[in-house]
Amino acid sequence: MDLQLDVRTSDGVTILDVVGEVDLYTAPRLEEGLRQAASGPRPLLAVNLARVAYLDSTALRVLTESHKDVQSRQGAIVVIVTQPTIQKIFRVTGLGTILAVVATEREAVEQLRTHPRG
Amino acid sequence: MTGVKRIRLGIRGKIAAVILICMVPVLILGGVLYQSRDQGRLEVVQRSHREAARAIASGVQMFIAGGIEAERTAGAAVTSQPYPVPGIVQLFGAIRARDPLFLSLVLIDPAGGVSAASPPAAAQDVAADPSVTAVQRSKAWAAGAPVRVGRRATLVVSSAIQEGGHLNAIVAGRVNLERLRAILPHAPNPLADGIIVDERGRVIIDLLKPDRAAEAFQEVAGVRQALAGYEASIDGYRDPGSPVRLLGAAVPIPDLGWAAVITEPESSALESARRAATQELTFLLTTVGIGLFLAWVLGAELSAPILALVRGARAIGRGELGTRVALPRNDELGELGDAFNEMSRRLADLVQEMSALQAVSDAALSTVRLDELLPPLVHQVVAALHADEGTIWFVDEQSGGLNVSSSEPPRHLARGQGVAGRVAAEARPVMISDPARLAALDPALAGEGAYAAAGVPLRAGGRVIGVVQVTSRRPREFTPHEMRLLEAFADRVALAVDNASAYEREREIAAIIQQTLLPPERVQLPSVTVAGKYVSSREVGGDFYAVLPLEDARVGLAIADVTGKGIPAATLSARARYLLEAFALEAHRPDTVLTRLNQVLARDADSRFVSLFYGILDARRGRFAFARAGHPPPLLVPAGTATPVALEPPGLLLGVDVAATYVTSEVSVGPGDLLVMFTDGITEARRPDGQQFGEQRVSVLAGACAGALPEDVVERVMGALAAWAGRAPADDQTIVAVRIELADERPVHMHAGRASAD
Repeated sequence: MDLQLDVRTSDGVTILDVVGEVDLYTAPRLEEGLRQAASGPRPLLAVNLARVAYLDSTALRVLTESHKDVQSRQGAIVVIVTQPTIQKIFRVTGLGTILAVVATEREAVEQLRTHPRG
Repeated sequence: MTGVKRIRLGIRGKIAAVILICMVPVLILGGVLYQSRDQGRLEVVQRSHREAARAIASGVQMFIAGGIEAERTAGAAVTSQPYPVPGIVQLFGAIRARDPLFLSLVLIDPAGGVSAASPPAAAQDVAADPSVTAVQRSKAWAAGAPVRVGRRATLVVSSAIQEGGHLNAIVAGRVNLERLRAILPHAPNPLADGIIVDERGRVIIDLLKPDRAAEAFQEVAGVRQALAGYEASIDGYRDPGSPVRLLGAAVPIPDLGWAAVITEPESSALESARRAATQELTFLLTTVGIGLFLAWVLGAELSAPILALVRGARAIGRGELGTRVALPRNDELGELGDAFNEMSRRLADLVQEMSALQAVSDAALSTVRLDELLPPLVHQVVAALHADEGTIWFVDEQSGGLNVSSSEPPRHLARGQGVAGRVAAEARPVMISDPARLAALDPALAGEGAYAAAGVPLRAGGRVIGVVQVTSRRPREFTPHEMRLLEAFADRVALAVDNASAYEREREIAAIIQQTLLPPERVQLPSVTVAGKYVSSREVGGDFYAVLPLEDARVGLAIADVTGKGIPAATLSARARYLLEAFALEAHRPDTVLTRLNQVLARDADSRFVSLFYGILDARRGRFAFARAGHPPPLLVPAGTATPVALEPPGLLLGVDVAATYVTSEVSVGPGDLLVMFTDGITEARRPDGQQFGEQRVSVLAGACAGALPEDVVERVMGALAAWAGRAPADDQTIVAVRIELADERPVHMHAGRASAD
């Protein structure tokens, strides 16, 4: 029931590595992590969920809120998901249509770098 | 980093070093003395030689004096009265027999004539001796020249026997000088020789070498000097033909004009001096050794307790609080050990107190149930106060008395009764350390073996809601510090109680809201039989499902899950449930219902999401139209098959995007078809190892249930789920099974009855 967050940068893109489980109890920390990682005027943020074992609906809400917030500041968020169970959550909830979900970090960085300015 | 490696010396090493440093000058001095001793040694040797020579000289004098004394006694005896000659001879014979000093003894008259002699043959020899003449010439005594008789050195000693001031007679005797060998003191060591020489330097007696030539010492300077009346050392004399260098001394023998000589080979003399010096050095080194040994012992005495303290300090550093060191000593180190143990104990107490308070604070913030929360907290405060029992009483609102609900059997105190009752009544801490008073105030406690008790009120919102009470089975006081600790504990317990009851209330309300949203567990309509089961999690989530009878015998079927827990989730559930019902009655297409519902929910300031599946069953036409908003796809198991079909049209969660649109899909259905709907609390239920139950298992179970009653389907899935993840779900679990019945035209009505348990 632990969550670890790590922020790094790659090609001008901020990458937030999320490791562990995101549920009702750890979601506030993810929220805070996203807020910090997506500070600045035009944030380009990749949220790496490749090593997330469990994700509940609270986490989806946090990601969606963050997405809306970043979008309002002309930024973008791309979510990296590799595990089938997590991919399925994004498919079932339809959030995959709202959030950009990719399978690799390379795709995420490319997508964010070609994000139109303004 | 200085680059200089510091040598680490323990206390022992330092003490030894100090002693060694102090010893260095002593050792150097000793070495210097030892080295410079050759000079001094010679003096020592010479001094000892002279002493030995003096001893011999006085021995000779004593010897001669003894002879004179004997002669005088004998002479006086025979001249004091007329004595017959044969008697004198007999007496002299007896004297000689008793004392072999005299080889002969002769009585001579003042004119020089022999009066008596023993033995008679010696008369002339002795009477002619120059010493007799010397006595005749008024000397009190005289000794003649030493003469060898056979192998023996002899000497005539004459004594004057006077009466009334004139010479009455002379007693002369030949004295056996060889007797000196028996009575002279020994030389300083076996190699040293004692020699007596006469006034001309001729050897009279040589104690060690009887064969030494008589003239051997005549030319020796020291001997000559002694004969001249002065003590002198002999240095470098060699016996003829001998390579041995002799050292020695010569001293005069007064009255006789002789000299006593001591000789010793130089090597032997120096050796004995060196031996003496070596003994001194050995003594010195032994002293140093003993010093170092004592330093070691003293160091051990000092360093052992310090090392014990170091080990103790390290143990505390590792977190082994309360570590004790054993230093049974009466000195300052013993005091240090006591202080250390005291510190360690207090540290352990302090940490225990802090962790007890911290535990309560943590507990106050947690959402654990009160009856699970309190016993470990009580245990901790009892340990922190070194008490034996701890009890938390709660005020009974109706009676005003106190209860302990968690104990078995439940305990009760009337208002104002006992220690706790007094604390509650007076709303202040009470401490009783007098067993008699305790027995009077609280016989029950005293009966349990308590000797002392303390209680503090639990306050919440300005009211006393209970009492924290601790008791001790041995006589003791609770210190002001301990009472403050108990109060701090009580404050936190009160907070925890407050939080826990607020939480319980919220949970109950959420559960009530949630229950009102649910249809009966079994709904029987002409077109469908619906069985559903909702298992709430501890925090109560936002699951609901609905069976909505619509126009034309159609039935709306819905299942939903609101994100979050507790009252906020429950109220949103209620809102979504009634909005759904309202829109379902107006609109005829599921996508329209979802679109409208989404528009309302997405405009809410509360940004919770709702996943929802909504379908409209038209059994008469054999059609099922449905739309999905981010909800896990339900499974349709057509009658006579075992392969469920997932109903999965695309669609976003409700409340995310106000502009989201939904899609209606449609399938043909017939009697006996089974529709299984569920929430993610089912599929995401986890085994202890973390593995989720998953859609696949639900699907297999549903496929195996073709033709079964809906309640059996529900039962089987929930049974499998309980076996998988236990019966205390982390999230709400909802499952609904719908069996499509034969379509008929009978009017719609609901059976509001509970499903049977099996």
